[in-house]
Amino acid sequence: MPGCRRRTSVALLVALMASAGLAYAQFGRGLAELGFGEPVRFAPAQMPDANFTICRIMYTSVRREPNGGGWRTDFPYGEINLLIRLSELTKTPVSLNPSQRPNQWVVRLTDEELFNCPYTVASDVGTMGLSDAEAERLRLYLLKGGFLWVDDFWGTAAWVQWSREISRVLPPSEYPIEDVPLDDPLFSTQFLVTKVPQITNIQFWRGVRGTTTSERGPDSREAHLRGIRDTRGRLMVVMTHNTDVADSWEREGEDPAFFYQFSPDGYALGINVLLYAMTH
Amino acid sequence: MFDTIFEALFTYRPVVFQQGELRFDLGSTGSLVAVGLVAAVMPVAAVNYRCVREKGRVRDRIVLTALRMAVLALVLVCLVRPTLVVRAAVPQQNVVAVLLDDSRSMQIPDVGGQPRGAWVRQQFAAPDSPVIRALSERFLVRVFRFSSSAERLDGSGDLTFDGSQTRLGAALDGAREELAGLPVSGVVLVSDGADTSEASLTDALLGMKAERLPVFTVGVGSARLPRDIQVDRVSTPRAVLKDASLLVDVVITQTGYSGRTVTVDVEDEGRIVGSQQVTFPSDGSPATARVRAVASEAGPRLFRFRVAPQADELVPQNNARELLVHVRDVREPILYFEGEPRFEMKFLRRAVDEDENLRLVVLQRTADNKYMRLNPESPEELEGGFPKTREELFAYRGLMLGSIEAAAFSGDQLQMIADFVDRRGGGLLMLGGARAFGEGGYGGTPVADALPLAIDPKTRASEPVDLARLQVFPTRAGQAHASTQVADSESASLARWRDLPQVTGVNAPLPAKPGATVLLTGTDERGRSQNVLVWQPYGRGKTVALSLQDTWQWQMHASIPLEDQTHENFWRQMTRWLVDGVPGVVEARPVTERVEPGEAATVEAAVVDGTFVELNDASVVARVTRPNGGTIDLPLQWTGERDGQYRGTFVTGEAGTYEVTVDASRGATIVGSGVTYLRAGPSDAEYFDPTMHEAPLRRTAEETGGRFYTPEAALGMAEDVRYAGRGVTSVEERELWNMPIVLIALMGLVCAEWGYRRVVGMS
Repeated sequence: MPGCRRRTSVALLVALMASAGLAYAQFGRGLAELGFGEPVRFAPAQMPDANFTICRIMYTSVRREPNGGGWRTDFPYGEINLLIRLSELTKTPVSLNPSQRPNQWVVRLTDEELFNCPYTVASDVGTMGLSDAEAERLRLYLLKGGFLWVDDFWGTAAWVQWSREISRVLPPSEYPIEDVPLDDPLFSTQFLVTKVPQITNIQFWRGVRGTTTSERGPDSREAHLRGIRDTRGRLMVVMTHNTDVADSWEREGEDPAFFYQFSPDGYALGINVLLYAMTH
Repeated sequence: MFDTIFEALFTYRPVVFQQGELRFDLGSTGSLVAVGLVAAVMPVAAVNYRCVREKGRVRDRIVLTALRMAVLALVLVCLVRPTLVVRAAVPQQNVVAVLLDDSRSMQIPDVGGQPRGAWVRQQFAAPDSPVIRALSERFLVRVFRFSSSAERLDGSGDLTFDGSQTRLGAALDGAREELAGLPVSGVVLVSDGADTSEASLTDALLGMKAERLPVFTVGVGSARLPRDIQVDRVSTPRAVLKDASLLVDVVITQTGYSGRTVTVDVEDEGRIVGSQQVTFPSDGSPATARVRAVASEAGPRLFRFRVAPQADELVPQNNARELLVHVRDVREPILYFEGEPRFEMKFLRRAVDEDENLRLVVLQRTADNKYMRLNPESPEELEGGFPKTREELFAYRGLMLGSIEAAAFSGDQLQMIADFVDRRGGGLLMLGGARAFGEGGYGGTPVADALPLAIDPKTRASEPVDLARLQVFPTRAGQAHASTQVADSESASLARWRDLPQVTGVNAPLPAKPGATVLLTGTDERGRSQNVLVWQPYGRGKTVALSLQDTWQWQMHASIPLEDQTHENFWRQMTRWLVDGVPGVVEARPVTERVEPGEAATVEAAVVDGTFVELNDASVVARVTRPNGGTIDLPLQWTGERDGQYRGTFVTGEAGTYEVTVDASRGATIVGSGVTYLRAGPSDAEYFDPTMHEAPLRRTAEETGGRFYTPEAALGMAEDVRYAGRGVTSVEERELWNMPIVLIALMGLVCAEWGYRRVVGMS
């Protein structure tokens, strides 16, 4: 199994490096050059096509987390880069705008356009506060077949906040939160992922010079991948706690060392989750 | 009435003239003298009129001369004593067989308000009845009763009118054999003519003709019932998957209830599982009720389609039909090959996932040469990707191709897919997508030959150019098709289709092939219409094209409530329809679904190997489980009529359902097995089409030299049988000169001459 994992990681690394060159040629600039300042593009009433896209949940933050940016955390290049890699590493048709860049959207839970996005993400959810209407809409969305991946929230306080909010959406008595075991299909839809990678944001990584990956010290020592399943056992919410997987996509081009340390594992998990969401 | 008038005018019955030979007495002196006198008078009469030329026109004289000549000619004919020489049965020297219909349909009360059987009992079974008395005066009468076969009747009390079948041919054969060697003058067949057997009358009539036995038939009953409702036809498949939603057309005929609304109920072993109201059109016109029912209980189920009897209805027994349906509780394997990860597959899979009778195995291509298998039955299933052998592919009953280009298959695999439908009899569904249909490069491939949409063979694989946003709506055929019913009733289904959100397609619109049926069309935002769901039979199977790529909108869209089941129902029905009727390697079926208890039942089986090539050298054994649990092993033999067809017959015993499990093997290799069911029980066929059927009775009479009678005319039958010319006969002469018609004609001619002369002023 370790040999298998090593082969998988090497293959993914080679594929990522090769595709980085292609991406540069394709999109006219290196991914590392991409930064904040992109306008928010709300999901339209009609998607331009039926190809795969990612919608980011815009929510209200009711508290603050260190280094957190609320709903905008890792936006938009986390999903842009992931979509590029998805199109390169799989057969998934990704929705592109006229400039041939991946379409990614922002959506509020109260927007009807939420239901045009079978796949959604949210970051820094340790600050999330949901209104009753938002909680009800999210519940409806998930039970109809929608998928949500929440990422980049660290420590006990963030977990308590998030778990309290998601419990209003899906009561634990009916939809318990569980640690997803490593033999779950989620970890092998495309790449064999044998552990939940702990990925820090690049500023923290630079600050500690790569000596630790726990942003909250002992309170976030271990990364978790937890989930909530529907009545048929299919994951509808995936939560990566004590890790910032999206930063391995967003900042993949900023520092080769950061890339080598985090991006292969981050993309392996990211693409696995996307494929799981599209197949289960 | 005709016979009475004829007999009053001509003294004798028509049969005497039909059978008799006309002779004249030209040998006696008296006759010769009389003829000579008349012959002499005739020229005189002619000259007489010629001499009165100043009193009339030439035309008047010709008419009067002709009238007088006719009078004289008639006298002349009478003077030579015309005589019919007939062969008449010698009294009490011949046998007449009287066959009385003893079936249930004779209980129908349409002979002057009394049951047909009561009339038969009065007229033919009682010794003092006029008909029997007339026959008995001339013949030795043997009375038989018949339903499925004929047997001697000892007394009228033996008539029960409870026979579950009417077999006219068997009855005639039985009587003929019973009377073999006896001098028989004829056979009298009294029946309503409703032959419920599937055997042809022709053979029986040939036997009667060969022995020159005339059959005199009496049609009992009314040709049109004043008030009756009949469940005429019900079309259900012989076998369905458990929990199948059946959409059954029930055709009802009626007389006397035009404009009335009735309810058609479907009962599954007594439990109502579906109802539909229907309003009757004009009398005689059939009405069709489309009834929905769910086959929720597995095993052999007796479905009863029934209209409640009306208060004044003559035949309530034909208001229901029963059909034995094998509700199969199995998991039908369907292979879905998807070429690109997309939400359409996810939601389709979720929709079908809860159907316990479908096993949707997904082969998802995630990257080049990388596949994900979902729901395989074993670790080996689809391990090598899409099946490379026919045995592997043909193990599935349905095949769905998603957005997967033709180039992903080898040439042999493309041919295998076509063979999957054509030879194996499977169901193939191609979904819309960037790599499907023409865009997927299927033009000119064997798969394109099988599909119901016409793809130009010159089309090359290409990227889709247009996205069409389509509002989907069923065609007329789609409105009536089970796969596109998305609500509980047809009207609700139509309303639901109108409300569903738009979906999209990326494939260039394609025309349907001749013979294909369009079930759904889509209209884009510019009002252009295109085919969306089309199907056609292809070889032994069927192919379906659904050119949409995101039907998941019918599940996820904001306008769709969480509890809405439209998307789930659509895909469950679609996938169930795809595998509906797909054969296995051993397909067993009874030749007739119902037999009478104690009758022989024949079972047939079609046997093929894993590649669906017919096997003629298999060892095929049917294990018959009787209603009481007892079993018999019945070897089936290759028929020699058709490749892979085996047949065997066993005798049923008690009434009930018989399970027949057919196992086929070849040496030590087990080919497969199949199950079917049949019923042994009394038939209610006697009550269907309960009017008197004149045609077969008239045909029987005419082809054998007999005669057809209505009940009113039956009294004269004895005389007709007497002159039928069969049996021990004697020659009799019947003089014709003294017939009343001769005197009437003579007087008429004389009066006509006199009257004419008065009119033209020559008297």
